Amino acid sequence: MGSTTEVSLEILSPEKILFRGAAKSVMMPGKLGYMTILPGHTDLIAELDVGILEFLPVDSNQSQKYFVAGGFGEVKGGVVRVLVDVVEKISDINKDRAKSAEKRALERLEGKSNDEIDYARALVALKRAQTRLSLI
Amino acid sequence: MPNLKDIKRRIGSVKNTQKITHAMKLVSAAKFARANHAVVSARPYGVAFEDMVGRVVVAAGEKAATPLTTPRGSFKRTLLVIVSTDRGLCGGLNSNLFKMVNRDVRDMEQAGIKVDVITWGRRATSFAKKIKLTSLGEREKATDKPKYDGAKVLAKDLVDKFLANNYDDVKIAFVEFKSALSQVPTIKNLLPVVSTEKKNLADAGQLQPVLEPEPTAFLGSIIRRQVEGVVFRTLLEATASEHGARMTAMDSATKNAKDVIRKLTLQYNRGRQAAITKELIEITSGADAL
Repeated sequence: MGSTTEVSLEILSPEKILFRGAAKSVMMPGKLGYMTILPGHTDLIAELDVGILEFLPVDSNQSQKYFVAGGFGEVKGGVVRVLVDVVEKISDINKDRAKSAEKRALERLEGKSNDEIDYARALVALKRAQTRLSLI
Repeated sequence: MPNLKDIKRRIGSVKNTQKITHAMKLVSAAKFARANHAVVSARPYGVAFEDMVGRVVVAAGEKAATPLTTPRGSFKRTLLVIVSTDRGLCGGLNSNLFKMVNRDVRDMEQAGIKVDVITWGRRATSFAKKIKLTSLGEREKATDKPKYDGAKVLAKDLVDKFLANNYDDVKIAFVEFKSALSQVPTIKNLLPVVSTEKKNLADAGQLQPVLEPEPTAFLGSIIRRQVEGVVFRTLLEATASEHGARMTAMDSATKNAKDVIRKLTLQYNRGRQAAITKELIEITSGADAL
């Protein structure tokens, strides 16, 4: 088991390493609800939903927030790995794009389309857009 | 002996070629640096993801077997993806790959396996046509700055074809990137995903991780994501190989041009000297005659 006061956190996307360092706590958006990983957490592999990833770096009291659009989180012996395809810093979020995505998704949901898959996709798109907007 | 004018013209044309190959080398070097960086930055995710998939498959155990992870007993049909470049001028990169693919396809056909192909890259498309393989799809610009979103679409297509058409496996042929000087043609198994972590199962004393939600709920999506990741990294490697190979090829072409120019210049100077000598002899012998 790792240290009892910190976990080592890696946030990885297929294209780059976003963060690598020690953290006091990590909160991630699990499929079944948000969970906070503290030092000494048992080994875990969880599927992540669209949501906010928040962690507290060891050397500061200011937590850092990222937008993530689904992926996987793994805890293994004091190492927390977050593997996500889409991850954005708050400063990288495009407000106008999120707004228009929200509008589009709402229109689609209100539309008369009976297609199950389209409905599910529009729901996810709406959630993505609203989560992004909530972070700005 | 070719006349002096011809030699001069040839020197000029080789010099022009040299300028082009030199410029291409510089361009490839810049593109190679970028592609190399992309391969290196994609590695940590790939390694971490593959490890995790292994642990999930082991922890989920038998109950979570899906068609995407179950190896088939017998092989009747194979889907082969061939990743090549769109353009040439990259040395033996494509031809080495095609040689290996050709051999492999013949072997499989001899074993009674029907092979269908998908080609990513213009060279691969014309190769598949030439050796008369059944093509299910072709694409260009697959190796032009690969993006994860693009790889996702390609991977989904492969998974869908695998599930719908009863292929026994899906393989991908590409040029693996070792370094700027060394690229190795490789055929990799893409589907079904067979965990390499099975051997660690012996470590039964080790505590299995908690899976959330139920593994049956997310095994499908984790395997799909794994395939996407592998496709993405394959494209990145193929891109790095392409630019590395082109850089080396263009470098040696530039050097070669330099050699040719040197030889031609020597020949030209000799010819010119011979002409001068001849004229001198003519003049002196003319003067003697007086």
